[in-house]
Amino acid sequence: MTVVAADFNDDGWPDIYVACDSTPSLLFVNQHDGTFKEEGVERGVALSNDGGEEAGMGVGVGDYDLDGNLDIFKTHFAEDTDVLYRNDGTGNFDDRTLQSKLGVEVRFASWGTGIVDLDNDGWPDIFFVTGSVYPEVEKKLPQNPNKSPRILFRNLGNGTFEEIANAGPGVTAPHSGRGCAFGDFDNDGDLDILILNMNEPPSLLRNDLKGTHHWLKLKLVGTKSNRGAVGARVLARYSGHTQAQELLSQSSYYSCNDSRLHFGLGQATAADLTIRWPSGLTEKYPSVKCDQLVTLREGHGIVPNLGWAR
Amino acid sequence: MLQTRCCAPLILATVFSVYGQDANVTVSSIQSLIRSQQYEEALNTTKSELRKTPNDFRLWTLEGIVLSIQGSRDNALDAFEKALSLSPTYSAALKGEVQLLYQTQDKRAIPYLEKILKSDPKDETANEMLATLEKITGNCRAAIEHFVLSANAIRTHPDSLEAYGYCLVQTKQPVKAISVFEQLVVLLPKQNYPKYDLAVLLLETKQIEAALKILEPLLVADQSDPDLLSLASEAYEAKGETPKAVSLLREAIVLNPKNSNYYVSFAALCLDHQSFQVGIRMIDAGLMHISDDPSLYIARGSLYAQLAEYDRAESDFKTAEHLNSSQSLTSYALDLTELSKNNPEKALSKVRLQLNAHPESAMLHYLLAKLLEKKGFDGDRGASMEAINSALMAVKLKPDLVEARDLLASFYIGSGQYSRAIYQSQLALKFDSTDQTALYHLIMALRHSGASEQRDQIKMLVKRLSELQQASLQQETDRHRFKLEIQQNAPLK
Repeated sequence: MTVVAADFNDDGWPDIYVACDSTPSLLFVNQHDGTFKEEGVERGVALSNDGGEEAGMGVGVGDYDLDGNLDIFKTHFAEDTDVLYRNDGTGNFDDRTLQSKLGVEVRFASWGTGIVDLDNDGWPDIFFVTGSVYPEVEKKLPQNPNKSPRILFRNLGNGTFEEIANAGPGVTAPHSGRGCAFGDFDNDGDLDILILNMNEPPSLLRNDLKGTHHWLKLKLVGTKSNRGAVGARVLARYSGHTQAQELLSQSSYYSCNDSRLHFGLGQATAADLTIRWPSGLTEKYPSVKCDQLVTLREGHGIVPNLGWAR
Repeated sequence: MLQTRCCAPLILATVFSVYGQDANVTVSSIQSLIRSQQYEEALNTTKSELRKTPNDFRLWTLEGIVLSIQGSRDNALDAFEKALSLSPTYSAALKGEVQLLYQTQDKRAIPYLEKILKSDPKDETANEMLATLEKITGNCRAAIEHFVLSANAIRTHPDSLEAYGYCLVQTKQPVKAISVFEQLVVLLPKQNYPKYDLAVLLLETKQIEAALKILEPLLVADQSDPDLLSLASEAYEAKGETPKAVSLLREAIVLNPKNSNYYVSFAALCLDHQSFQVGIRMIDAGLMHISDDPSLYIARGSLYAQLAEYDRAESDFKTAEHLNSSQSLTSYALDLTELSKNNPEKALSKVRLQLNAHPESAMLHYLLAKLLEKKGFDGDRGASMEAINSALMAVKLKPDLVEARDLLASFYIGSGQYSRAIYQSQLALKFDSTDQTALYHLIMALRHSGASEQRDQIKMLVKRLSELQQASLQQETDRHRFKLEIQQNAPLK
């Protein structure tokens, strides 16, 4: 149902992950010669913890445990746990769904998702939208509603998450959602969410964070690499942690996020950045100050923001 | 029933060979009297000699033989026992005692047989007798050892072959059991029951075509045996010929509407083919004939649960439990229903209550572990000790409960104990080589153990898993080819 291209084994070459419905999901590992090898099963991202096929709807890619590796969160059908696959850095994954306490939520069919830091505390959270496939079912079985709430799991920073039951009306209001994209549309330094709903207008959830957490947004511009810098990988180091993000062409469920990479920094006021461009060039930017948008042009360093607010 | 053999001539020969010349004169004369069927005189002579030499165990043995021939079983036993009290390992007395005890399948013969075998471990007759008695006492493992040692003897003894086959089945050796029942079929070509038993085993080992090859001629010859029809139904369903399977099973029910197993099998068919309402109707019909069988309520409750009619499901499960509170499976079903309603806490407390009442239930221990798994892990430390211990208890009580082994492997992988995960997965695969969960766990665990020679094993396992998944997909497709529909004029009342 969803395809994501990202460098999961951190060898500088983009791999392709395909979330499949009712068949094993696929991880095509780039062989560096124009070919790919499918290794989903042996790398632990094809199946559930019990070796069963799942409904593979949406895919979120991010670094939930701040170890510098890209993890995967895949959404599924109702009565099936959405799965968190933790990357060990070599492109091999372990299913951490139950250990992370994400497995408690199985009520709804889930769709678009992201591993994104919604409270800027430096630990990426998990958000996904839900909604039934068969609207007529709820007439006979009201316990299977057509519309259902969005789900937000807050990262506790210790490998586990807690479900936020009351994250505001934008989250709790029932809808039948599908696509879900993340970005800071109002440029106020926190991530907002755009959701496409079935048979009703989309929802634009504005995040109004208060508090003292800091953030950093990066706009990457390729020169030798593609102009949009798709495939660029950023490591941000702050407060003794390292968070990896990659600029993806698409993820979630038929969605494309804001191309500006957003890092919550918590109490840190600066971050050390390492950018690996698709061309292979690696650049380092120490102590980049927080609470700003920074535009980085490949080979040219930090450049003025062009036509972007903060 | 095992055939008994007359051992008198053999026992006499043994008596004759033991003692010296003088003794032989008396013994020999008594022996001649016995051979010429002059039993009264033989007995009188024996008694007379015993008055002179009351501690002559050979004479006591001869007395036992005569009394045995005359039908005085108790007196004969007394005589043999007297002989054995004087010479505990005297072969002739041992055989005489065994002969009489064996005739009534008296397990007091066992220690005597063991003594006989101590001096002659290859005695096939003794091995066969001991095997049969061990089987009767429920010690199939010991029985099998002795059946093996009497292989030549039992080849032409249908009762022994049947007992041997039964024990192989009980000790979960169906492949060997098949070979034994094949011999039985050859030995008793006109009997149906060996063919039936063989077909059961072939089905169990998924040799469907072979099973049908046996069943089809039986069906042609006789369509009035509901057990046969039910078994054939199972075989046709395994082959994917659901219409035939349904037709045969319905016929079995018509022939014997008071057998709850047929209704339960029908319900299973309906569950497989998502034809829940049809199954419920059939169970309703069954309950009119058998209103107090808990298995029918469990079957119907499971069907109601599939239709999300949880209140009706729970009512049926409660009725089943009321009818047979020792059936902890009912509780299992009850708790599954609670799970379906997303009340894991309630399900947990119910399971704990049931475990207090049925601590011997492997299924309940497994269910507790499963519920604790769903409750969530303790962060990176993995499953709680209670969850792990419950799963361990489940496999201790029922070693072939592969679901519990799979769960254990999952717990161990989650907490980084990969060698334990490998062990549990390999054991699960030993019981069920098609267990995809165990295969997957083995792949995941081996991946962490790192040795390069294991990487090749991983590739092979991934290939095997893919093959099994393809086969499952095909089965699923085949299952969905057919759906049972309610007829306008239902044949059953």
